[in-house]
Formats: sequence, C-alpha cells, structure tokens
Amino acid sequence: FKRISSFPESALKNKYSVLLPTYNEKENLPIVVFLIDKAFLKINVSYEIVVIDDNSPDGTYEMALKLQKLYTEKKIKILKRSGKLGLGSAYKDGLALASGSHIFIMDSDLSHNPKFIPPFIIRQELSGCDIVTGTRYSQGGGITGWGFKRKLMSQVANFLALELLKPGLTDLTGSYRLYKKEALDKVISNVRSKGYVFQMEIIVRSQLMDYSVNEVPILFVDRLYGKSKLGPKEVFDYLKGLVF
Amino acid sequence: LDLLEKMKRSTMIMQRFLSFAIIWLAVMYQVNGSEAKQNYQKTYFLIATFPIDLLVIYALYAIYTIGVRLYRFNDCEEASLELQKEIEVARRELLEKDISWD
Repeated sequence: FKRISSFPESALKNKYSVLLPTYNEKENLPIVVFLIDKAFLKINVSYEIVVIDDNSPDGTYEMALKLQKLYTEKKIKILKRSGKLGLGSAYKDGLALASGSHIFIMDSDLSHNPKFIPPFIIRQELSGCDIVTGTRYSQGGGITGWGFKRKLMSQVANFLALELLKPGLTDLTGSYRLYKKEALDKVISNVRSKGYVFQMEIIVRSQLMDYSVNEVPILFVDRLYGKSKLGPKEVFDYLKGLVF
Repeated sequence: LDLLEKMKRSTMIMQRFLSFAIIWLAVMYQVNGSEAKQNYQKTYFLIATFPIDLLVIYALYAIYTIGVRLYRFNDCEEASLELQKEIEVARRELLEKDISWD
C-alpha cells in the first residue's frame, strides 16, 4: 500500500464522468449510484454519472429517472437506447453526453466497487498517465465468487493474451478503468471487436498510440446477483480476437 | 497505418520462426546424407529434436506460470461480505429518500 499523506490537489480541478452501461440492473443501479456519490463526496471531487440503458425490460430506465430526480440532472444523465447495441457503442454514445475531463468506465452490477475510485484518481494524478486500468490479478487485487474451473480458464486466457501481446500489464480484460477524455476519444473510434476482446483491444491500441497505461489493484465481486455471461461462444470469440 | 503497427509484432514472430525453420531444415538436410551422422549421434539427436524440445520447454514454462498465478490467486471473501454490508447501508439510506424496489 502506498501511504499518501493527502489527496492530490490537482484532481480538484478535474471533472469525472462515470459511464454506466446498464441492462436489467434495476436492483443494482441505485446502490451503484449511491456508492459512487459517496466515493466522490468523500474526496470532494466533481463528477457526473452517465447511464446508458439498452431498453431494459425490467424498468432500469424508470429507476434511473427516479435517481436523477434525487441527485439532480447535473449529477445524473441518462441515455435511453433502442436495444442491446453492444458495450462499445454504449461507451461511445455515453462519451458524447459526457462533460467531464476524465472518464470512468465500470460495470453497474456491483462487481466493481465504487470505493476504488479514489485509488484510480490518485494513481493518475501522481503518475500523470493517460489511462488507469483496474487489475484483479496483481498484488492487492482479487476476485471472489469464482470456482476453480473459472479461475483456470481466466488464467489460461490471460496467459495467452499476455504472451501474444506483451503489454506490460497483468489484467487485460478488466472493464474498471479511468481514461483522460482525449485518450478515450481518439482510441475508441478505432476499436472494432466485441465482448472481452473489446477491453483488450482498447488497451493495446492505446499503447500503440503511445498513451501510458498504469494499473491499480481492485477487488472484483462476481455477480452477487444475476447470471454470468461466459460461455463457449465467448471463449471462441476471445481466442479469435486475440489472433487477429 | 496503424494496422501496420499491429502487424509489426506478428511479422517479427513470423520472421524469427521462418529463419529458425530454414536454418534447422538446412542443417538436417546437409547432415542426413553424411558420415558425420554416424560419428556424432548425440549432437544429431539434439539438433533433430530441437523444435519439439523448444515446444516442450515452452509448454512447461506455461504450466509453471499459470500454476504460480493460480496459487497466488487472491480469493477475497471479505470483499463480498463488505459489499453486502455496504448494500445494506445503501438500501436504508435510499429508502429514506423514497427510492425503493418493487
């Protein structure tokens, strides 16, 4: 653990937009928003949340409207899309609405805990890097809720990716990240893949475009609620995406 | 132009692989007809099995690395418990502000 005597003041002039793509997250969304608000309030940094809902049948959009009334439109922006159009396009669309100088992306199902927001910001301000990605695999990181088979699959996949791409990082498929807005803008328009590979491609492309990437350990709590989406199809697509 | 960048690493791997393959094939071809094969059986064996040896060593390295990572894998039960507590607090406070679930 790094002992920081005080929170870096340079963060205070930034505004952070948190992009939250949602699909059927009526239960989790209020809690995520509450925790994000709590995290930013604690460090006294200005933020906004951009909810991108892919027309969830369970009423996630309506819940987002309720939250918007509670936290005001300045803190919560909502984009309602016509259907499941993919994570990448959700980020792009959310990015268009975002007014912050820095962009957080994270999952809205509580697998990513907003309490890690300050470490991301601290790392970025102290190192000056363009991108901070949360790692579950390095010292200080962790995962809960994975059986042995799942762990093995992830480590094999991770090994292949690291060997082929040699990015100097430990976790390539994480989706808990902090970007400088210009960096994300430039990179995301070039990324073409879907699913897990999408997250990998963003990082690899950013490095190719000479953006600096640092890692911050995070704890990943897999799916307290909801079902996992990892099936054989996803694995195949992942391997395909790696090679090409 | 940036597709070219991506290609750089895979072409480098390709180049190295091809040059090794050509050298190996050339050596094998030369040596196979000669008397040297009789006299230097041990070295011949090493050279002939060189590619497979590399694969085996790499596979062992892979298994070792993955094993180490699995061993050091951090199962953080406390994170899950802590999260559940935070959820409880969140639910209570949100209920006060009129946000509830059906």
